[in-house]
Formats: sequence, structure tokens, C-alpha cells
Amino acid sequence: MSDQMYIKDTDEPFDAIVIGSGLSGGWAAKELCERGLKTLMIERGRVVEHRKDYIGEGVAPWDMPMRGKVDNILLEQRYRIQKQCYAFNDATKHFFGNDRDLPYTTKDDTTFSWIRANQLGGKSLLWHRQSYRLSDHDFAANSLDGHGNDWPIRYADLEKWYSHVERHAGISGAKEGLEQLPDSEFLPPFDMTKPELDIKAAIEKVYPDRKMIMGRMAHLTQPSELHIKQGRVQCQARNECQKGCSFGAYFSTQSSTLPAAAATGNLHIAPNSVVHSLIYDEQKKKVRGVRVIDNETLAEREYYAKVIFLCASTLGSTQIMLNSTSRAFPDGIANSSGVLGHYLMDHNYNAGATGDVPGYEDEYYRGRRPGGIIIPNFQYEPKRGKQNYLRGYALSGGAYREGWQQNASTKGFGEKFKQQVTQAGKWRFGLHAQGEMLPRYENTVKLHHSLKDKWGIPQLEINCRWSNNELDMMKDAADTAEEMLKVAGVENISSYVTQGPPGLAIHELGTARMGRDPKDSVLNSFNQTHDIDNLFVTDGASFSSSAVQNPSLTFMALTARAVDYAVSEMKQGRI
Amino acid sequence: MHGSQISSSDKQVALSDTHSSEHLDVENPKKRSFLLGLGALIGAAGAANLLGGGGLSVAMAYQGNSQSWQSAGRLFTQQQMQLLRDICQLVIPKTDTAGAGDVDTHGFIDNQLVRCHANWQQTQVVDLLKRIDAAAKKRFKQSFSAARESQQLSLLSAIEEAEKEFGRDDAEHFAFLKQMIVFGYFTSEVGGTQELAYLPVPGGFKGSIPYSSVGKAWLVNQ
Repeated sequence: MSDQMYIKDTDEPFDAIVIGSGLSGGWAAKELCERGLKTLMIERGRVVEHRKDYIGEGVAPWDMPMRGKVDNILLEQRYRIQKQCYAFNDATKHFFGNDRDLPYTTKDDTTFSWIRANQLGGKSLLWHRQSYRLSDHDFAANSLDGHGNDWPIRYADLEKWYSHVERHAGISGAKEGLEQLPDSEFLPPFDMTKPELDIKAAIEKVYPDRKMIMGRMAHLTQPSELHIKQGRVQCQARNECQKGCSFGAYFSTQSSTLPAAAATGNLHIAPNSVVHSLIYDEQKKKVRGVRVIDNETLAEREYYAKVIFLCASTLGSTQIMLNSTSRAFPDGIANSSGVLGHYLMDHNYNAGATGDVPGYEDEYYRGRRPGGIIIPNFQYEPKRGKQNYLRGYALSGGAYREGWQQNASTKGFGEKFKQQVTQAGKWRFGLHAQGEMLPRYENTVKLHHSLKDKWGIPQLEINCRWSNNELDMMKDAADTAEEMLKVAGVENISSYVTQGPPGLAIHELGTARMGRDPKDSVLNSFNQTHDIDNLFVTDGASFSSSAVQNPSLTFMALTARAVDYAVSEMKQGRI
Repeated sequence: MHGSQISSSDKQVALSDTHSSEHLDVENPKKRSFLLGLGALIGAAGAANLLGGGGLSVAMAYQGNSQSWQSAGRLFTQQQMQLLRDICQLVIPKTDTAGAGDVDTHGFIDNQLVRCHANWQQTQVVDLLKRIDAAAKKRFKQSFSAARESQQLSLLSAIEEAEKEFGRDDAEHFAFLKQMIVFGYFTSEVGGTQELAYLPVPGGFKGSIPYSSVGKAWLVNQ
């Protein structure tokens, strides 16, 4: 990538501006650039170069002074929220936001753990790359039970865009023909282990509607020519993805969309540019540009373009919109409906069950699979649901053998102890819920009336809690997981329901939702704001419901589709 | 494979080597070759080269200090460092690979407790070491380090089983310390690569292989 790609001050207008460089921003930039638009990607954080800046990658435990754990003082001062994320450790911490510089508040007695990744590539560097299509059941769920508004699109609208992004990103998985989880364009799936294959057979025999399948992931199990052309090779099964992957064996902005965008010569990037607000032209009723504060010097500058894509993450995009006020939009840009900031959702990971798998003493695996098995939502339409709550959940998990860490509690000393600790232990298997969260008006994000961050931008105030629907669902998920483990012959089962706050699934969704009616939604069926023709929001903020699936693949498909629409509208002179 | 066949007399030599400062000589060729071994970067060098990143220079910069027990640590006094080193070596002794005391597990624990654990956990370990030392003086009329190996082991077994002068709390605190010893040793280069199976870059995932073809646990399991 050339040095001229990175810019700071310029008066030259762009065809398009993309705010954010994560998974959605990377796709927006690639698609815009490939259609010949001179595009500026604005990123609030520093540049992270593929390979060069993966400083935690390939470092052995003994080369880390604390063997991967993080210093108490750092945790306390910088990472009080971020440390709750499963992927946070000494080798990944530099890809997480610094809580001290990125303050937000939560209302009254609510909590919300907002995981941040403010650098080039954003959370595309941190996600665990689970990739699932939504189905017609998901798009229809709101209209069937009346919670939330109806999505303005159906599966048929997204199908070809799913295929489009999957072929480029590379998704591993197996064709299953499931009604509630449409198949993708797959690379070969990862192997199941022997215990997993047997557990699958036992569960499906008793519950024919509960298929246990290999997780679908954006990892190249067998790269295509297109992937090799991107400079990517086969997944090495290190399962250390959040440290950065120099093999490009996974999908991230750096490994996949950014090189494609840069190759067109149309891409420019303004790093260290914290977006303050959008500049609205009241005469033309269009967004004219973006006002940013320099991340380091706090100097102000502006960038101008014909069309703007907001891809700053669900809460980031909504914060920018709320902070973009004008006479026409005193409560936030494109917010004539008043629903901007409402209907915040996340997935609920607070239940499951685990136990021991007897036998398989001479079975082992080689390598570290970067994901496990899933049992897709089997309550995917109202008639399949339980009586005491709405919607459903998926169960994910896997089998593994206990290792030396568990053997540390073996009694004894000396050579015998040393020898015992080195042996693999018993097999374990677990199922863990990923539950749908209903869209509720009360789950809100607003600008705080007085608190600001160091760039002078009002802090977000989040007011979000699990409803009884989510709590009842988790109780059922724990019981159901336990029943299924019993059926599979798992022993010493313990089920759990935990009280984790929303946010930790890192699937924040909603707050600028799509809909048919401009009176109760912010975006139309093409992620274009109802109020302003040249403003698009294509990240998780646009979701009308959370469904059960991990949302990232849908961010990609929605973004690619929205760009296609925007460029066609521009060509026809309507934008 | 694990050196558990080492003769008991060899072991006595090895242990006496590590038990009193008089016998520890930096110029001891055995010791020196061990220190060189620590820097040899088995496995890690290959991975770092393959990745072409900054991994190798980071790796080269770090070496364990097996002499760290000769002075006070960040948390422990010099005597406590010596006592902890003896315990490390009793829990995981030298076989045909180094023991936990040889690879500075005591120094690791001293640093780890201060930097990554709460004050109450630090206090717990310091108090445990004091109780062990006091029990040794009472039982053997000499310090733990000066006692015979069989005496030392019977004392540690009493803690683990919460017997005689030790209670359930002592057993719990000792279990915590033992976990730190295991963690420190098996994430050291010797423990991680010679005692466990370490694959920095597995090259792909195979769901089913015979356990006997590996014969030991992976350092990084999942």
C-alpha cells in the first residue's frame, strides 16, 4: 500500500466517505472503490498494518513475562471493561480500546460492557469469525409476534449478496439444507472429533429437529484462487486469531477487503480522525461532509463527499448521528422518526451445561480448531417455541480433552507428579446458549447531557437490561442443554445460568433500525436513511431484530448491497 | 521420554546441587549448559522465522534467571525465595529435563503474584511459606532447606492432606501455590516443549489421531 493512501488535511472532495474501517467499513470501501469511486475511509484510531503490527503473534508463553496474563495496574487503569472479553490477554490487549480514553456511562442500575477496537481494521481483527446467514424465519420474527417492527427485507433480497461476500471472505462449513440456517458458499468444514460425531448421532436420534453441525467460520480451510490472489493461505489451526494472522487465513479488513480496495488506486485513509459529526446542507437536504477531531492533536478538520457510509459500529454510528444536530434535525441527523438510539440489542450468552465424556482414551486431536460445533435454533418459528417466552437460541460448544492445567490439582510430588501432569486428561463436552434478545424501545443509547470525552464529544449513556423474556429463555436453555447432554451419555453434568451484562457477546445491534415506515424507523430497505438520500448506515445499528445467529456475515452482505444500490442511484442522478 | 528412569543416586546429586548455596556454582558446566538451553528457543524460533515478524527479537531478549533465589524478590525475602525454590523443585524435580526450581519458577511466582494477583493472595502465599518454615524448625530443628528430602516431602504431604499441624486452609493455600508452580513450569520453555507437546503452527486441524502417537498433553490445548 502506498504512502499517498494515508492523508490528513485536504480540501479535495471525495466521491464517497466511509466512516469506520472494521468489518462493515472495509466492505463499503472495497465495493465503492471497485465501482470507481474515489473513496475516503475515516478511522478514529491508529494504522495497523497487516503482518507488521501483529506484535503478539507467534510469541511463545515463556517470552511473555507474565505468560499471557495482564498486569493488574494496566487492567485497573485502562481495561476495566475490556478485560471482561474472552479474547483479552497480554498478546491481544493492544487491539482493545483503552477504557480511560473512551468513557461512557450507564443509566441507573443498568450495566453494559462495551468492547471497543479503535484502530484500522476495528473489530474485524478481534471477532471470532463465526459466519451465519439469517433466514426468512428471522426476517419475519418481529411481524409474527409483534415485538419490534418488520424488517423491510427478506432472505431473497440478501441471498446473492451473501454469496458475493462469502466467496471473497471464505467461509468454511458443511451444506446441511436447514430451513432456519441457509447454507453458504462453503469451503470444506473443520473436522469434528470422534466424541463429537458420536454425541451428534445420539442427540439427533432423540431430537431429529436439533441438528448438531460444524460451526461456520471465516477461515480458509482450503483457499480458492481468489483468496490466494489476496495473499492469503490455509488456516494453520493456531486458534490465536485475535493476535493477528499473518497467514491471512482468516477474514479481516487487513487480510481481505483493504488490499482489494487499495488495489483499485481509489482508496484514501484518514487515520487518527475521530468523527465529531456529519455536516448537513439544509438547502440541498444532503450530507455534505464530516467534521473530525484529530486523535492526537485535537485539531479540527473537515472532509467532503457526495455520499457517506456510516460504518462506525452500532453504538459508534448512532453516537455520531445523535451528535449531528441542525435546525432540521435537532435530535440527531436523520432522526425525524425519533427512534434513533432505541431498540438496542445484544445476544445472551448466560446459560449452558458441561460434563465429562467417558472413554475415548486413545483419541486425540492435532491443532487448535478456531471454533466449535453448533446446534442451530430449533425454535425458529412461533409454533416450535416454548410457552413461557418468545424466540429461541442456538447452542454452541465442543469436545476437548483436559490438559495439564486441570492436572495441577493432582495430589503428590516428584517424578510421578511431573509425569502425571504431562498426560492428557478426560474428555469434556459443553453446550452454551446464544439467545435472541427482543427489540425493546426502552433499551436505549443517548448522549449524556453533560459528560464529554477528551475530544469534546458527548459521552454515550446506555440504558439496557435483559427482560424477563431473556431471563426465562436462559433458564430453559440451561435445562435443555442438560437434557441433551444426558441423552448423549455425558456424565457429571452441571448446568449454569449466569448474570453477565449485555454487551459481552459483542453483537450490539439496533439503534438506527431499518423499516418500511419512516415514522418508526431510521433506514429504508437499502440502509439509506429515510430522511437524507446520500446517507447510509450499514453496520449493526441497522438491525430490526437480533435473530439468534452471529451477525457479522449479515453486516457484510447488507453493506455490499447498500453500496450497489447507492452507486446505481448516483449514476441515475438521484444522489 | 520423561526421564522418570533416572536413578535415585543421580537424583540425590541433582537435588543436593539445588539445595544449598555452597554447591551452586555459576561456573558449574552442568548449570551453564542448562542456561544455554534456556536461550535455545526450540520451536519458537521456527515460528518466528516463518512469520517474519518481530517475534524473534522479543524472544531473544528474555531469559529466565535460575539464580534469582540468591536475593530477595519483589514479594519474598531471600530466605523465602530459597524456600520456594526448594518447594518448586520437590513438586517438579529435575529428571532428564530440568525441574521447576531450575527454570526460575520461584522467580516467576514472585513476579506473577505481585503483578497479576490480589494483595490477599500475595499475603496468603507469604504466610504459607512462613508456616512451612516454622513447622520445619519445630519438626526437624532446622530450616526446611537444610532438612532431608524425605522430611521435606513428609511435611509437604501433611499440608496437602491437611494433617497434623496443618488445617484445611493451609491445604487450600498450598493447592493455589502448586497451581502456580505447575503453570510457571509448564509455560517455561523446558516444561512447554520438552515435557509437553508444543505446536506453535499446527498447519491445520485433525479431529482424530491416536493419543499414543503424541503420548502427552498439548501445551496449548484448544
